[in-house]
Amino acid sequence: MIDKYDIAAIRFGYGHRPGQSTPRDGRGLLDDLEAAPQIPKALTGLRSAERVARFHAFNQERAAQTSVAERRKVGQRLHGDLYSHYHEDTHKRLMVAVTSPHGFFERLVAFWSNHFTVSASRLQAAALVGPFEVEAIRPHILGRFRDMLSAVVRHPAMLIYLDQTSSIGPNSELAHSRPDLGLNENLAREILELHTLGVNGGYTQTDVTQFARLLTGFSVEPVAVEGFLFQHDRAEPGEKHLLGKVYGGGIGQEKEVQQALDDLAAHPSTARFIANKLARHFVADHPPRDLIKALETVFLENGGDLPSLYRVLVEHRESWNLFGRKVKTPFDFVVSGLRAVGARAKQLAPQPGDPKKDMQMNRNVMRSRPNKLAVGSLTVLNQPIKKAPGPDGWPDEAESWIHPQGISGRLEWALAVARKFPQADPVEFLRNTLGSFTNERIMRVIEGAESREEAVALVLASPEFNRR
Amino acid sequence: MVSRRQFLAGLGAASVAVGLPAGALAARSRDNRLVVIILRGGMDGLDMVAPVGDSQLLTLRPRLARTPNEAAGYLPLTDFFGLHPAMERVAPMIKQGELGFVHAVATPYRSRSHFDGQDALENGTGNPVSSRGGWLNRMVTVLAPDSETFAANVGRTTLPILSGPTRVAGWSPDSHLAISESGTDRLRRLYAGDPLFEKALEGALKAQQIMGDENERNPANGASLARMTARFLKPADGARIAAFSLGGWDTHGQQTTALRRPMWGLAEALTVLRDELGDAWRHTVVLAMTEFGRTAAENGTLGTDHGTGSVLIYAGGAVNGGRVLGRWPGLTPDRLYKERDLMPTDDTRRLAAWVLKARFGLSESALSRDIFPGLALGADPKLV
Repeated sequence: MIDKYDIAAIRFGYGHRPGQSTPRDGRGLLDDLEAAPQIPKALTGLRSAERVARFHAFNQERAAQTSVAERRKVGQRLHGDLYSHYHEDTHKRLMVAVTSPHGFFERLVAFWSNHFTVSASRLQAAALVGPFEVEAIRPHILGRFRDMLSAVVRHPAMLIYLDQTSSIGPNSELAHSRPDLGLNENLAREILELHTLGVNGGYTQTDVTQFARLLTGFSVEPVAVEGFLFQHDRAEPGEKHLLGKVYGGGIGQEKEVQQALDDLAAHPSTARFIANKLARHFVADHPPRDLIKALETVFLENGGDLPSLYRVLVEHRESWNLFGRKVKTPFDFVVSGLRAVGARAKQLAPQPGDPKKDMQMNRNVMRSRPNKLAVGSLTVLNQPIKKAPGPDGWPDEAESWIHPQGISGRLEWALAVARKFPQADPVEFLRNTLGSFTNERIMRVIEGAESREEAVALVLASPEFNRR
Repeated sequence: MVSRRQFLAGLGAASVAVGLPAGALAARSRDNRLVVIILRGGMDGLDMVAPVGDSQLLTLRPRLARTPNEAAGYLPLTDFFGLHPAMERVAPMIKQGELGFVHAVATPYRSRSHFDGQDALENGTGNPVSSRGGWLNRMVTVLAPDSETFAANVGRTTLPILSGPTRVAGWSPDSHLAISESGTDRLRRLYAGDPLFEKALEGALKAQQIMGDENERNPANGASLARMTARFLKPADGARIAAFSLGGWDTHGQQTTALRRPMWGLAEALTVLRDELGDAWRHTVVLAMTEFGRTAAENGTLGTDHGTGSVLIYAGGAVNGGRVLGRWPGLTPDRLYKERDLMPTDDTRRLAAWVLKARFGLSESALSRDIFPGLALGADPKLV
């Protein structure tokens, strides 16, 4: 008999952790969302304004150097600083998921972060991906979609990642003195295609260009409190026509952008797009139509109120029936595996760096290096944390992750974890990890294993553990 | 997902006796290899093979076209076209007739979204919304439906071009399976009944056999992928089709530096393929294609935005290289697509189809109905 307790933990959280109790059912999951700390203590130090200022200071220092060799040295320290922040932030973020009893809240943070992907694949964004999640995503998990969208679009990480900082209005004041700068459509396109309407949501190339003109005042300033600043001299003046509506008319102002974001967030295509993504992420690669429809309807009726959306998701019959239709991504897999063995932060500490050696070897000067079983493992499993190859983030479908390369990667990791976190009784480990999903077949295989380590590794490598 | 039986039934009776009878196929095409490289991000064909003879080029790209690669200008290629200096490494191959280009090509897709554009390129229909899997998988289904090692997917992820009902081999330069014999047996029992996991495990075991225990430091770079590809394709009983992808082509800003690394990577991959395939190179055709090109004009950040027409690169010991093929549409505003992009004058899929026809003996009906549904084959472009 399948116990709802297990479905709640595995499907809507990051699985069981020894000694930690988690919500028992749907009602419990929703209540727990309210109880979860939006910003866990470990992450409170992640602030983008500081990082932006630091980056600016480094650049000034570099520009002040007189020789190429000196400039390169500063560059090594700068890049090292950026990547050190990236590794430190992502390690902390991973450990929050490994230790937190509020799995559903953390899963939602991961979902929305992926939806609004900002990636460290862009060097300048590397030190901002951590603060981005803390500042733009977490505070709005229980808020409205429209507010999360606005926070995301204004955030330095997003503005840098999608080139908004180099975009200026062709007829702006600044354009007269800087003929080398012009309009960049990247952010505008991705907001329409990936964040709101979706690729078939009914916008045209003209809409993309018009939206880009609207966004031109958005920029990043090291002197600003949050890092974000609306710069009037870059903003494109005049009217902009987006999806049949008119915005602006005089000098460019932030107000007109906010109006456009209001309309995009309320658009029926957005409701459909978000409903689809949410259902696909939590329930099945091909979710039931009535679930999608229910999510879409409540999104529109409640003005994008996110808790209402989560309630529909968690109360829907199919969400509790279709267990196993989803495959865990490498992040889910690693986090739930570390939880299953009860790994603690101390046991997964990053390795300290060696600044002297880095300088000697002409490498980036790193404060630390990622732990091979934690953040480091995600690179091997082809989902380097917060470093997606494109703004569309990571795929959800099973075939994207379970193939010869993926399986061999997971098995290798499972063996390493089994060695590092020995379990006295593999059968008990199996029962605690899978709960009511334990079955005869897997029990027989585990009991026949050559060693305790192999037994534990087989549990972690099993389809039952890899599905949710 | 469609089962193989349903899929084959859907192909129709004619394709069962596709192309040449088995004997002739074995005699003629058993040596022939195909490598498809997907260039992700929208590769700027106008910068890789620049129409230096077109008077509009400098008007559209005053900075990019003058110094495409920081200080350096284009290398001479033909009377009309120049080659981006970062592709210098393949100049000898071009001279020897083992590498050529086809300009102003695109799939029928016109919307400029990377993800949809890549789907349209890889599913072979030109329409991103298609549930039929990749065209290379369909080709394998027609040619060798029962072999699981006829095609190889190289790299950490499964390329959509190779996804579909027919099983393909797959491996990555940094993969390896460290488990004992009896452990393997237990794994098989563990995965019994879950086809997705079973399939993945069997593939890993097979690839491990072929590749042994190599461990590449940089598994995503062109040279590593090319090296592994050659290992799959070279043996007499090895795979005959392989695919991998190279990214980094989405150059919205600072293109004079941003394009260098991906170009070096591609040039190196092509060179490594030639070197590692050895004798098999003269039977090989390599096609490198991208989802769409980029804007004819440079943008405000010294880069280019998503466009339409681009360049297809073809290489191999079996090709008629050393040329830039294709019908040049011109770059005046009235000749551009939507007054913005290079107008495509040929279909990328058509070029691939003719290569398949010549090298693998596939019939016109198999090509235009099953592998590239709805494609009009037209006249032979003579890449091979």
